[in-house]
Amino acid sequence: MNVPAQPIHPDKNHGLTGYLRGLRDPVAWSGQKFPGLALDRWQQHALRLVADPPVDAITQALTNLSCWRTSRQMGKSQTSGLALAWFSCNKVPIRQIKIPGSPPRREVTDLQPTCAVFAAGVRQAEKTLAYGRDFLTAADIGFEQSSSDRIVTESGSKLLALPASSTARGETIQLAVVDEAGHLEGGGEDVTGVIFPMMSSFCPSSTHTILASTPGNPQGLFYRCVQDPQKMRCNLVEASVSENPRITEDFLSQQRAILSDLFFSSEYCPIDAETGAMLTDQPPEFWTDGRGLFSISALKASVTDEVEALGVPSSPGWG
Amino acid sequence: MARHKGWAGRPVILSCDPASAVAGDYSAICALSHAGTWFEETQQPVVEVSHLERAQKVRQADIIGRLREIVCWLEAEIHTPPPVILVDCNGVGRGVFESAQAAFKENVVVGFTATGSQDGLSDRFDQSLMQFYASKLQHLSGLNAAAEAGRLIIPANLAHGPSLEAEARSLSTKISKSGRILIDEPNSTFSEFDDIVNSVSMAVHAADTVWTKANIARMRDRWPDRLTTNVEVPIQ
Repeated sequence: MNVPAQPIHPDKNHGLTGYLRGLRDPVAWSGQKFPGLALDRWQQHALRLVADPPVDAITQALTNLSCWRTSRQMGKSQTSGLALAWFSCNKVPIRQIKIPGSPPRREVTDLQPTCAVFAAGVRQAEKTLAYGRDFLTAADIGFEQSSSDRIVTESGSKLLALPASSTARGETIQLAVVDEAGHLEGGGEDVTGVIFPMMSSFCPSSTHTILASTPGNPQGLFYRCVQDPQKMRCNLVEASVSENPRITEDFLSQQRAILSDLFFSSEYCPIDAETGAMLTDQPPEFWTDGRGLFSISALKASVTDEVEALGVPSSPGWG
Repeated sequence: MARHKGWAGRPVILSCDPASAVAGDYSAICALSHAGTWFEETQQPVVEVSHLERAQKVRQADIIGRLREIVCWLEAEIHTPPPVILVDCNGVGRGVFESAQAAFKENVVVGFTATGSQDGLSDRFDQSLMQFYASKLQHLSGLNAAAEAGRLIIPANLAHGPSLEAEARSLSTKISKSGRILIDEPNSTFSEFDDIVNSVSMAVHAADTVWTKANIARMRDRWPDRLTTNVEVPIQ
């Protein structure tokens, strides 16, 4: 991913300038609130797209759908938690009023944002919500309510952990984070029909949906966003293991020894079919139909004439 | 007189993938032995596929009889500790498993039930039922991972070694409409089989669970005369 690094200028993180900057920029905000937190470049890029989504060149509409395709251990949950915390503290829902005969007018509302994490299981959604809670706590934000699946801040923002199923209906939300969107049953198509109608139509320009996942199932919304982000009007953020200094060669070798090629290439990085080398500068791949289960070269390499087979005496019919 | 270097007393898993006596596919038996060393990164055993054989249209009693022959030969001639007998419990294998439990009182007899899970979360060993539960995708992937890690040894003169490779080559994945990874099963009507590779991968899955360093140490305490390595054993 070719994202220019944008270091945070220390002088801009303090005072009124810093405060105003934090309102617009989640990276600057996290620099002020959590000085020890080092965000990778992909995390900075992904967070800035949530705060300030680009305008689609053709439709002139905001591309308020983000798709994060990364390997394991890249900090997706942490970034999601940070997005939840920043959004619930700083995002002011803005309403666009259209009166026939006059240009559209934008108006700040007194709504407080509602953010929701969706995952295949509530436990998984609660785990991401816990990151959001930790960031809010570290930023000295007080809670009116706090439980494992629901947080209400003192200013009235709500953060919810919901199952990615039809039972999640009934909320109006401004930020939706769909965790492991690439691993939802049936590609998550039925869930899509639940989540998107929940996005606030009152102030659509202030809503955002994040699909964060390692690739898996080659069907569903996440897959379509990765395959054709332009058509889906989606901000695609891809990150490979080489962008994460915390993932070492040793760690990858160990994972390679445990996981099959199929799972390794969808969790960490693709494998060169001919040489068997790990392509660490590429994002992980979706599962593919008709893919061989075995590395025949590895099986052949296992054959040795240094040991002999047991000469079990034969028996009629067996051979 | 052939001699097998370093073979005396190694633990052995005898894995069996039974087939119906009237079907066209094969019943396969694999003897997997501990190579005596460990893959240090994951603390898993280095394993040797020491014997492979298969037969078509054999009855349940014949499979038990053949297992008995191999068990007796291993214990009497190679001086292994009593081999663990592992039987694929899906379909006709259930009967073979129950017969083996009745027939082999001196051996640990374990069943292997394939589940539909793809994420490995339901993989477990139920000690009260003496059953492994694992999806076919997981245990076949485990065999591939063992080969990738270099902790699988296949002797060059192994009978059915080429069949193992051919069967492995024919196995591929398919994604179901609901987004699950399935194994594209070979069609035995067209002489496509997976019995050999299945028996080997079940054995490797069991070995990774059973042959921990602590368990091997316990076995060495129990059979000190048998679990010695690097001993040459004369074979007639």
